[in-house]
Parts: sequence; structure tokens; C-alpha cells
Amino acid sequence: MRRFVLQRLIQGIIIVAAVSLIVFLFVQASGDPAALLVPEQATPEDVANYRKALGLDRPIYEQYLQFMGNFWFSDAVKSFRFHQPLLPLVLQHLKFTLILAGLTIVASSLVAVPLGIVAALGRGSVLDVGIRVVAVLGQSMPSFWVAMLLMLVLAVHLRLFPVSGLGVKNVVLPTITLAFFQMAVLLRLVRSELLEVMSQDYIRTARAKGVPERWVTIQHALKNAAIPVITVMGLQFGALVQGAIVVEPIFAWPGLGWLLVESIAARDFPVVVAGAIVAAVFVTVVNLVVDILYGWLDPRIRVN
Amino acid sequence: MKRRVASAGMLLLLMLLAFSVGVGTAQSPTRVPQLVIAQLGNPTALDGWNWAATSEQDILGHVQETLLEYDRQAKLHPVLAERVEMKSPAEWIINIRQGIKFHDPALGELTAEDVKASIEANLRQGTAMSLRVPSAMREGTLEVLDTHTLRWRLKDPGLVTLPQWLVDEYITSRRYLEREGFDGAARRPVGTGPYKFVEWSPNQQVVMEVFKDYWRPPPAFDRLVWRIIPDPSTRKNEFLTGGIDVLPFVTPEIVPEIQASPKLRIETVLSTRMMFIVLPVSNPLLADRRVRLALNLAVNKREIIDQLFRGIGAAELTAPLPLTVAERNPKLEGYPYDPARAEKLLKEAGAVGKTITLEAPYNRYTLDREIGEAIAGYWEAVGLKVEYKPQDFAVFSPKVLRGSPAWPTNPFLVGFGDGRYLADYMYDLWIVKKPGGSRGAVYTKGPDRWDEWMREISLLGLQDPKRIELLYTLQAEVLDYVPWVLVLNYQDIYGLSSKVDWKPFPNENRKMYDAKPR
Repeated sequence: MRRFVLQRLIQGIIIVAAVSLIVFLFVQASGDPAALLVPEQATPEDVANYRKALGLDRPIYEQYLQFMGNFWFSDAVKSFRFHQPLLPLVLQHLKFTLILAGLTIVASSLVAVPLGIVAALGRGSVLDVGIRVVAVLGQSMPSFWVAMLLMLVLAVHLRLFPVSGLGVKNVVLPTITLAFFQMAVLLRLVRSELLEVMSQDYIRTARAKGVPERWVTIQHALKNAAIPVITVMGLQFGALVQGAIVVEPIFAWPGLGWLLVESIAARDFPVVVAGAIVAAVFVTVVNLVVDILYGWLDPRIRVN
Repeated sequence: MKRRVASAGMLLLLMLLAFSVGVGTAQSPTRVPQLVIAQLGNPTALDGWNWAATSEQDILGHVQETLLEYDRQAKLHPVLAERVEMKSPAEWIINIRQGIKFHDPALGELTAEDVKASIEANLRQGTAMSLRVPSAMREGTLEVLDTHTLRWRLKDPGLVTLPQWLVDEYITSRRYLEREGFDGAARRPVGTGPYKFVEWSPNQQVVMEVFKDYWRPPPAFDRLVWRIIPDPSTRKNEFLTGGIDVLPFVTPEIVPEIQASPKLRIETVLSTRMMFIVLPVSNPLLADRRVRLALNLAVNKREIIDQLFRGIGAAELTAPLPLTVAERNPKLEGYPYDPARAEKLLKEAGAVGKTITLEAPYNRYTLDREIGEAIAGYWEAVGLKVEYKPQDFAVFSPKVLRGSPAWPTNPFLVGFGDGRYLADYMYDLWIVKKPGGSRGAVYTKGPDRWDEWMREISLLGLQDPKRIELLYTLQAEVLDYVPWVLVLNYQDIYGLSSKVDWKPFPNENRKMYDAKPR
């Protein structure tokens, strides 16, 4: 197990380094940040001086290596716009994205798993059709549209929740928005996995042995159906960071997604790269946790 | 007897009550705990040297003050300065007001040393502020003459409009700068303003509370909360549900929704910002004045204002300057809407059927993309083939303002505003040909005499008749040269809740100091 974790950690470091390099090269190719950041009155000479002050006149490889060194080990590289050290700035925003992502996973699982089971057990029934329609809607409606709709109905007209901002009541609408899509994906997966597992020999054997149907479903079927579901949940956790990019600015939720959007628009390269690195680390860690969970759910995977 | 005592007691009680009520109303004006203002984006800095936009300046301006400030009628008034006196364009004496306290009692009272330290911090090399001001200021030297007097020697030939530039110089404490350093002072600003800084939660809010020892009458609202909400529809919904009290940059299409609520209202003001299309003469098609004139005559500005701006969000631009600039030549009437003549001019120039690309930003100025679309339609209607290219401001702005990666040769829609209400500032940016590449040198390529006039204007006092005469002539010549399509002048719309009484400023400033409860 230790070897497995170590192997995964080394893979993770390579992935994070690759992500940082790719993002760094892409943002460099997107244009000159000095030209965007200086005031309107600045002369071409001012722009050139500003570019030099930001270190943008040096070779790209040198900029990259210095950036990576300073990002992890010092406060020397700062946001072009906010003039603040990168890691604290990004982590400050990441915590709010993690809260949102965590609540989304919990909320979507709490809805998707029971509905998936009900749909699978009542395959072809009106209830099954209804649940599948909800799932299709969840997957096909864009997040920004769901966000606007929820805001209009639940916040503006019914006044049940605040429109935006940070707080316990404020997190409800962005969570529902993100969870709606997540729930749809998980629901469909739980249903299809459960249907497949329910047709396996060992389920028939359990039934033949007289095991009660509820126990068959929970102990034998659901546990085996859970492995792909957990894989997808892990992947979806990463996708939630992408979702946050759309949802956070709409609900003025001060997370990493919003920070990345405004930094991309302002060509604040250091923050964009730092945000991508932190997001990559986060996704890598989640995937590692998922891999460890496999072993717990299915000892055969642990042995192999 | 008992009844008399009881009656007398009751009378006394009533008198005391009446007295206390009377005293209460006479001595304590209505105070309101909090005013919430919508803020479009997270401030990049809360300091005098790196603030990046008017919206950031607004926040800072409640904590720190400037030497002078504009009122709503574009008149300059002294604030921390009692007097700003010009000995010559290159030598100025500034007298600082006495008895002004900083928010932190340990920092004492404002002195000339504080003003010197603040201006030097603002204009030190590499700051955004240093790039914003004329080099005469940047390369000048400040000297403290006594505790409340400063001499500022500007680089030759000096600057007659120094007072106008001082409205952007925020003053903090020298000792605070020494104690906290530039970074610390930028995160927790201290000043002499009507509000004390309380907290800045990035991408959430900036909170400030009233400063009880403020040298002017204290503001009516105990706290100001600047809520950062980037999405326009979220801002609108927050406003409709009472989450914010002041909503800036209202788009005309939501005005009816606001007006439908008895608790909300709008206030409008003619803005210092104009929208125009630059016609680079390096483009072979646009080198012909007839084509440039035709592009103006083809645009139905009235229709744009009535349809897109619902008649309230903009006004027609009649001169090559914003309508709020006092030095605008009143005799100029712009270009009329005359599509038949536009068509005729295009035919004469052999431009009918030619393709032209119009570039425009989006999500930068109110309805910018839509204005561009409408103009593309008008140009098509007079016989041109138009490719319309709206683009993100992050891509658009470096290209058109700085030539990065290359100066465009296509016409492009752009906004311009000057909070100092100066005519020459517009021409300095867009007309004057400077060595090393300027917008005037690349796009307009006007006659050399314009550059000479501008040099002359920069040394003439604001009241000098020669300055006005030159500016009027310059405007008439620019209009005749047709370097731009004059489109519109914004009229800024603000949404206000029933809690607050406040009038907006033309220069996009949101100074809430004199806001009153309603």
C-alpha cells in the first residue's frame, strides 16, 4: 500500500509540473500583460519599463523556473494586479471553493443515490421515467442558466435565500446549482450500475439463499455498484472546480473559480498559473483518495 | 391634595419627556447604521499609488482625502489644501489646512511632511500613479517650507493644470508609511477621511466606519459597505431584494423594473465619458476624408439613443470632446444623420461595396457590443460590406491603446472619459504625435500645427482667452478633419434605495460622504 501511495505521489508531482508548464506557456502566448495593466496615459517607454519590472523581458524558461521556485519557497512572486504573494491569495480563495465543492458532493450524493436505487428497482415504472427525465434535465441545462433561474425564483420572488454573497444561507443556491448537474450524472450511473449488478449470479444466489431483498440490495448490490460511482465522484470533484468558474462569479462566492476568471481577464499570469497548480494538486489528491477507497471497497484491487 | 401632587408630577413628567424629545431632535441628526454600495470588482489596491480604476478610487477616497476635489458642477474645491498657488507653471506653493486629525490618534495631525511623503510614495518609479501623471509632476521635487507649507518645483516647462491633477493624489501619514511599509499601508489604509477603514475581505466586501473626529460635519451613515458583485444581473437582483442601496452603472433596459418598485428609484447624470470610433488613416480606405465623413453621416445617433438607451442612457455627441467639458466649442454641431449624402460620398470615393472591419470591445462600456452592431448596420445600409468583430477588452485594449501586439488599421469603437474635465487631455492622448509611437501619430496623423498648439495650450492658464481660442480652433479643425465617428456621450444611471438621498457625480465618482437618509 505504501509503495502504491508513493507511486501515485510521484505521478502526481509529474502531473502538477506538466500542468504548470502548459498553463504557463498558454498564458504567455495570450498577450502582453504589461500593455493591459498600465494606465491609459502610459507611454510605450513606460510599458517597456513596466514589462521589465515584472520580469517579462527575460527568456520564458527562466521566467518559468524562477516562478516555480518562488511560488513554492518564497513570497517573491506576487500577483500583477493585487501585489500580494500568490500562495496565500490562492489558498484564501480555495477554501471557499472547497466548501462549495464538498457541500455539492454531499448534496448530490444524498439525492442521487436513493433516486438511482428507486429508479433501478422500479425499472420501467412511471417513477423511473420521471427520475430519468430529471436526470436528463440536470445534465442538459447549463449551470449559468440554472443559477439565474434559481436566483430569480428562490431569491428574488420567494425571498427564501439571499441573492449572493458569503454565508450559511448564501451557500444554498450555488450548491443547488452545482449539485443539479452532479446529481444527474451520479443518478444515471447508480441506476445503470445497480441494474447491471442486480443481474449477476451472486445476487441470484443471495436471493436463493433467502436473504431479504433489502439486504440483497444494500449489502450485495450497492456495495459492488459503488466502485464506478466513487470513481466518477472523484472525477466530478475536479470538474467542480470548472463549475465554480461559472457559478462563483454569478453568486459572488469568493472562491478560486472567480479569482481565476478575473485573473485571466486581467492577464494576471502569476495568479492564473498558481490557481492551476493548486487546482491540479487538489484533483491529484482527490484521485489518490479515490484509489485508496477502491481498496477498501474491493479487496481484490488492493491485492493486485 | 394628592390629586394635585399627582397632576403636578404628571405635568413634570410630560415636560421632561417633551424636553428630552426636543433635545433629541435638535441635537442628534438622523443616523443610519449602514449603507451598502455595489462594487463591480475586487479592488486591486487601496492605496494612493496603485489604484487602478475609478471604482477603487471611490473606496479609497472615503478613507484618504486629496488636496482638492471636484464638486458635482465640475468646480474645484480645497480639501486638505487651503490654497494652491502658482508662482510659475514650474513652481507651486501648497498651503495645508491645520488641525486635521488622522484616524489613528498616534499619528497626530496632518502636516506638510505627510503630504510630501504621500505624493512621493504615489509618484515613485514603477507605480501606476507615476504612469498616470504628466512627467512634469513625476520628475518634480517637493520641499517642506514649514509645518503646513510645501513648495513643488515641477520639471520644466511645468504644468498649469496641476490643481486638476491633485484631485487624484491621496494623502496618508508619513509615520504610517514608515511604520507599515508600502505593502502594509496598501492593505490597511489610514487617512483623514470621513470613514475609517475596518476590513477588506477580498472578493467579498470592504467595510468602513464613520470617523468621529472628522474635520467636516460627520456623514449620516455610520458604516459604508462596498459589496463586490461582478455579475450585472446579480447586482440588479441584490438591488431589487434590498441587498444593496446604491447600484451604479445601471443599464437602460432594467430601468423600468427599478421604476416599478416603490422602494427604488433612479438618478441620472451626464457623464464625462464619450463613445467614438477611431478611423485610422493608415487604412487606405480611411485615408480618404470623404469616406471618413460618410461613415459619420451614416450613423443615426438619435435612433441608437432612443432604441438602445431608451432615451435616458446617452446623449448625442456634437463635438470631438465629452459634453461635460466646459472648454468644448459650443458652436460645433457634429455631423448630421444624412445617409443619402453618405452614400453619395462613398460613390465619389469609389468605396461602395468595399469591405470594412469594425472592431469593438464588449462588457467594458454600457451596451458597447450593441452600439457596434448598430453602427455596422448603418454602414451596411449606405453600401459598405461590414465585418463586425466584438472582442474581450483584455484583447482589445492593449491592441488599440498601446499597439500591442500591433496597432490596428481597422476602425474601432472606444470610450474616453476624463474626470478632470480638461479639453487638452483628450487631444494629448488621441491627437498629439509623440516620438516612439502615440495614438495621434498612428491613427490620426494630423497636421503639425496641432502639436504646436497643444504645447502652447499646456502652458496657458485655464482662464487665459488665448487657451480657449486655441482649443476652440483645434476642435473645429479636428471636426473638419474627421478622424473619428462621433457617437454618443453616456448619461450615467444609478439605482438608489428608499434609504438614501444622494446625487451622482458626472465623473463616475461615488463619493457617499454627503449622502443623507431619506
